[in-house]
Amino acid sequence: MNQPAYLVIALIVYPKVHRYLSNLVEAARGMPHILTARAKGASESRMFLWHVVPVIRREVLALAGVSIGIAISAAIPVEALCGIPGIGQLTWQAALGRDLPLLNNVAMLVIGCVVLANSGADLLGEEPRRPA
Amino acid sequence: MKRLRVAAAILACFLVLISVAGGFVPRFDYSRQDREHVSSGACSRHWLGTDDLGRDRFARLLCGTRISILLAPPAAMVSMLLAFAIGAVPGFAGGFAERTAKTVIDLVLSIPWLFLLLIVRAMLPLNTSPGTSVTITFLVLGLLGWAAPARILLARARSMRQAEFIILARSTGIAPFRLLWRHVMPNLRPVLLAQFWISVPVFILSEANLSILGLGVAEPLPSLGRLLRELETVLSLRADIWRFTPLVMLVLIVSSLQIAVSEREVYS
Repeated sequence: MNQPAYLVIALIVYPKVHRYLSNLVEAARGMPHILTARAKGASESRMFLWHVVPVIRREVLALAGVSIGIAISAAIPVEALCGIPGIGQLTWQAALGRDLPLLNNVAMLVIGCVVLANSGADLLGEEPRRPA
Repeated sequence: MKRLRVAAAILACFLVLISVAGGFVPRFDYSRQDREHVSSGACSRHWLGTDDLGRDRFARLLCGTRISILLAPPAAMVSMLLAFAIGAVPGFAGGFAERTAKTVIDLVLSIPWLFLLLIVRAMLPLNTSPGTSVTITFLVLGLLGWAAPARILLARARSMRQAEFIILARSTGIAPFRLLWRHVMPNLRPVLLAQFWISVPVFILSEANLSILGLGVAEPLPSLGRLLRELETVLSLRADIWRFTPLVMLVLIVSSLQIAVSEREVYS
């Protein structure tokens, strides 16, 4: 039932991420190891999955962490207008009713989510340890 | 690409001109009620129809656009000044000041933008006169929008710290304030300008967002967000397609402002 609303949020986040992502992929595609892989005759999809994605993985994860914040921002008007009972609508009601303690707590919750998402992205983005 | 940019700039100027000129025409009074035509469709008298209080929608659209277009640049100016003070100056000074500034900027950036706006706006009085509400809304935008530009300015100022012309100026015994004003500021000007032009459409959109939520500009003053709120009842759209005009206007303003600023300036 709520799927269109989530689609709207995704649509709001997408253009902000698109430029960075396409720049990243572009830069990764210009690296020398791609040329080697191509010379060896790797297929387009294999090259992308095995040679481009690992290079940009860390940046993509960081971008995902940042876009959590954008998505939460976008969720406020979307939830308020579509009548979805979520954090966004709660914030809206609290702001309209000047319920400052509630606003405070929701802010803490949201900041916690953003910080968690960012540190999670950092952790996942660490280089895997190779056996010596 | 260049032709597109010129076209966008012309369109933006045109929109500014009509919205400002509309304020001087008594026929386009945003608050006058026509009680004979309440929530009517488009006709020769009311070009976009009237709202449920009988106010001319075209006049309200002009006024809302005027408010956004005229107040977003001063708000962006305020946030550029703050960004310079919080980002560029510590970045140039280095050391403890730079680390502190960086932490503060990261902290502010970690709070979602609209969320921050909503919280700060809710702390300020909501039931004020329309004029005050407009001022408060744009002041809040200006006072909170400094974080992203400050981060870029900080990085730029830091890279400038060891530049040769700065060392030369220092060796002549220049006063710190004069150094900032005559040597650092002019070299940061392209970045400042680019950030300024990015901020203006962002602020217009944020104001519309706040007003849709009922936390921005107060009645009876119209604003783009307030006009968009009328679109909430989708059923009436089929009867009167001109209700989409505020949305079209918002998209036009924001996109033309964004295209008119050259990419080289923004992303360099």
